[in-house]
Amino acid sequence: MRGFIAIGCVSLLSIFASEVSGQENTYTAGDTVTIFAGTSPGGTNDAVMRMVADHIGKHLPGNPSVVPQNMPGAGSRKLAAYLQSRAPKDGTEIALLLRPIVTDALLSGTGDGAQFDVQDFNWLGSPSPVTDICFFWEKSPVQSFEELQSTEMVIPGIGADAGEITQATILGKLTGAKIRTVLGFESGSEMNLALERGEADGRCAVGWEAMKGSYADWVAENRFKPFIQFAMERNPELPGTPSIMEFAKSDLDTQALEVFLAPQQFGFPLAAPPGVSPETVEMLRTALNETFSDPEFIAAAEALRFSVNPVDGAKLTEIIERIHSYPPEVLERIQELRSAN
Amino acid sequence: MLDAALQAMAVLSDPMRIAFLASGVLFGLVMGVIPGIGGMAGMALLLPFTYTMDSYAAIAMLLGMYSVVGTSDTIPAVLFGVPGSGGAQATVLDGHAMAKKGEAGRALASAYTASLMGGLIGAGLLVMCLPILRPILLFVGSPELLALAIFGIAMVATLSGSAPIRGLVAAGFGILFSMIGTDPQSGALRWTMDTYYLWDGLPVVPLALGLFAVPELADLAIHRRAIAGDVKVDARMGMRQGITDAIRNWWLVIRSSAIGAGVGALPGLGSSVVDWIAYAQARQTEKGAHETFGKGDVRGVIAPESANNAICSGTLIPTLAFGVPGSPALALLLSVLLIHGIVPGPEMLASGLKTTYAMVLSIAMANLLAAGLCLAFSEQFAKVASLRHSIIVPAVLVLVIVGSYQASRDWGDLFALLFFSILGWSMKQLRWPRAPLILGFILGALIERYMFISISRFGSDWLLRPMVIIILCLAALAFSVSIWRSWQELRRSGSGGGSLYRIPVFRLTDLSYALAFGFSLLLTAATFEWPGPARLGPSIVGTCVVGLSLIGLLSAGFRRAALEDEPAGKEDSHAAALHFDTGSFNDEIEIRELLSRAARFLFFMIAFMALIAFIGLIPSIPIFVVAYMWLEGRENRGLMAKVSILICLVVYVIFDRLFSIPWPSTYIGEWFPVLEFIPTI
Repeated sequence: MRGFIAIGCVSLLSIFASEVSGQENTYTAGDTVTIFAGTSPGGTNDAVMRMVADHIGKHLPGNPSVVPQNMPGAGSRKLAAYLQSRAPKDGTEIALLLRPIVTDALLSGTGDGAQFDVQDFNWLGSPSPVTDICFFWEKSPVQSFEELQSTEMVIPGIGADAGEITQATILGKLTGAKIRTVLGFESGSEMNLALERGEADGRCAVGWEAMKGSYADWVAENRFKPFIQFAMERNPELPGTPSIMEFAKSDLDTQALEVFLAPQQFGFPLAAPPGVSPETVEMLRTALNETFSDPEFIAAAEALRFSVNPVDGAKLTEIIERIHSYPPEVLERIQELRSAN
Repeated sequence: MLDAALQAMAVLSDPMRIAFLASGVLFGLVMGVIPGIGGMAGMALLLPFTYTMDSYAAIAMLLGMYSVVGTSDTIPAVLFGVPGSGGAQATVLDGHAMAKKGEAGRALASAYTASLMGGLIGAGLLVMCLPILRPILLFVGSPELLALAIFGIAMVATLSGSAPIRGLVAAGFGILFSMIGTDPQSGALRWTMDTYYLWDGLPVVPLALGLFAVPELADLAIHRRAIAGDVKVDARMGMRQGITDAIRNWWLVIRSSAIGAGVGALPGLGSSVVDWIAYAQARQTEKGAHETFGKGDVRGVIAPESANNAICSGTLIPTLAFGVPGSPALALLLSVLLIHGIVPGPEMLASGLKTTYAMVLSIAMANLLAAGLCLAFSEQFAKVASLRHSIIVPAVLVLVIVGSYQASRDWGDLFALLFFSILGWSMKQLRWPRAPLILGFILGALIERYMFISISRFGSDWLLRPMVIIILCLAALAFSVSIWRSWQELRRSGSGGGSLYRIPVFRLTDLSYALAFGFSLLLTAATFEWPGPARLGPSIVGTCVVGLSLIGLLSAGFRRAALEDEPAGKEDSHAAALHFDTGSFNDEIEIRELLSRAARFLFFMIAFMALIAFIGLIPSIPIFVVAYMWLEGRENRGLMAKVSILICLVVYVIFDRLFSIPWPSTYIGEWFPVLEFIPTI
């Protein structure tokens, strides 16, 4: 009887001990790392998450098994809230967040009400930034930037705070382009169908990378013509298309646009919860960088027509710090540019 | 063309590929049976396995899974009144009623046969129409989709039996519920009660399960009976009868399949609505359907079942022709196609024709296999109808709760389930039709979106488009015919114009109208603070519901006053006419006893959820199951142990291991983190 009690105590103690011993920098056999995506299955963000989940395991010390998981809700705010307060801080759970969340608090002014703070997250890296473009459809009556100053074009959009309408508004204010957004579409493919039906003249807030990937035939057949890109500088594949930064009229504009474009630089960001030890964060970042250079990962990405241009976790953190350090006038300016009045 | 078809047949007759098809079918059958899980979850699970597979095998497996969910979701719908997935909701109405009459075997067999026929017809239509559909679909724009959604709502009148006002109020509430969430036009948060949960709107699974499934379970518990009551269940004879039923009604099958494939082909309408449309269409056009639908008419099973299998082929059309997924599950299929280098678009009919035919063949073969398997085991399934309530209720309730949680993996799902369970049960007792509510829910959001797009893009010209005019006229026709029929029935039961001169007589049950009035007033009042575009739809619908509830209240009072002067027989037939959709049991229980047993059931449900919050799902299951079986049925220990362990295992294997569901955090998990190795804590 006493023997049983002794064994019981020892086992309990050892369980406690391993819980209490703190963060290890390696995973032990049988550990599981879970990667969450802030969307439901299907779509580019989910596909990227699953690619990372498939290949990162062998680059993590201890080779744990990696499980992909979805936690959709409120544009990945739900996942961000989970990451902030409920995710374990031992490196067993990381998240792929939807990029607009980077500037969500800054631009929507939620402030204290927000359930997460992007400055607290440990940013690990991203497989690629995104270059958003606006384009004319082949059947559009307007076919050049100059014509847009006098003739209106109609684009489809998802909702009032989605990229389509904010990009169109900023474009209008900085360049005088006349763009009207029709809201209520639910997805990119629905919007592309609207193009083919003649319900729209073009689109905004479309990833150039996504178009290259899923609509390669449209690219090959020149069915659409990009006329502006939303990126810090011109994407080398689109040398003839001006970037919105070229229309900034002052330093204030430049900084305001930089805040607005931060999500594009993030692309498909992966983050670890706040409170994870610096060694573990470093380990995760290294593993992620190795995954991005792993030829198998690159091949898998190519099969999905996704080109890998990794962005380092340190760079992501630096961008966040910078945009949060700007004076309030910068935020006011970007709000001014974004708002419809 | 024939060449490509033959090549496709050759490709698919490879035994390895057939094996993958078969495994997809088995998987899909299981997905369909479990409530709350459908094609989408199945696709997400199988997807990773397909990346390295040969493309034809991958397509065979995925389509094999996708096309048979609509066959097996009938099983829980018929037996328990629990729709196994969105497409089985309408089947519940007549299918479950048949099970209660002891005809479960017949219902199931007719459903499988109808599903098989529907699936094959859908596949055939896909082949025939694919070449011509692409140009046609380009003519179907947002205004046409809006008109179709309005047509769907007009079906509400058909589904309301002789209580059109209640049907309209229910549909109105459904539309209001569908508007919960972020408004696309303005970004305003509508009725989200400061939670992230409601940000994206109410998920349909807890709503459907709460509205239809839980009230059935509650009634089993309250009336303390097996599903089939005391009626002897003869499964084999039922099977033969069911098969012949489906074959004899071949014209109904063809019509319903055409509807299924047609609706599926239109991206944006969604498949949850197709079974209701098929059901309503059958009720309107079949002989004598008005009296018998809702009480166990086999045609009420055949119509939705053929439609919801045909729709699988229909949804492939926009997916293959445009790359626009016809249903959320197909979005995943699209990514598989892209990985294997298959690009949707005009190529699918040119260089990709072989692949297209391979897909069609996969669907056809999958349907054949599924029907065969289901029929083979149909006898066993039908016997479930004679199990005692003390076994069925806890087992199915556990699955319903887990299935609801699957929706958004949030405690909100369980609260939503609770709310709609109470609502659904009350509606059932008070003879309010529930089908219009869910139809309004599904179509409401679509109507708002397409309305804004159509008006924003085309101004008022959207009404002048030819297809729109045709569809809207059909909708008006369908609506007025149903209203006219209901009016005729009411006149027959004696409510004439003279009633207005009597003092209205109210009963306690009229409280339901008052509650509807109050609740809709509350919801509408909340809209006043919202920005213009966000407010437009909800305030119009809300005001209509307020008005209709008031009219309903007054008309019920006046009509009862009129009836009380008529000879007694008329009141019975009037009451019978209102019986639609309830299919209640005939044994009379006193109201007080009824309410106390209902409260007891509710207590069990809430206690189970509280237990989950404290100690996690898997530990709670045996406690709940044992408690229920002991307190309600005094079952013997051996049986209690077997049932609770079985359910525990099923939940663990499927939901914890297979789906890796992130369970909610539990109190005990927070107090003693050491216990977290136990699953679900």
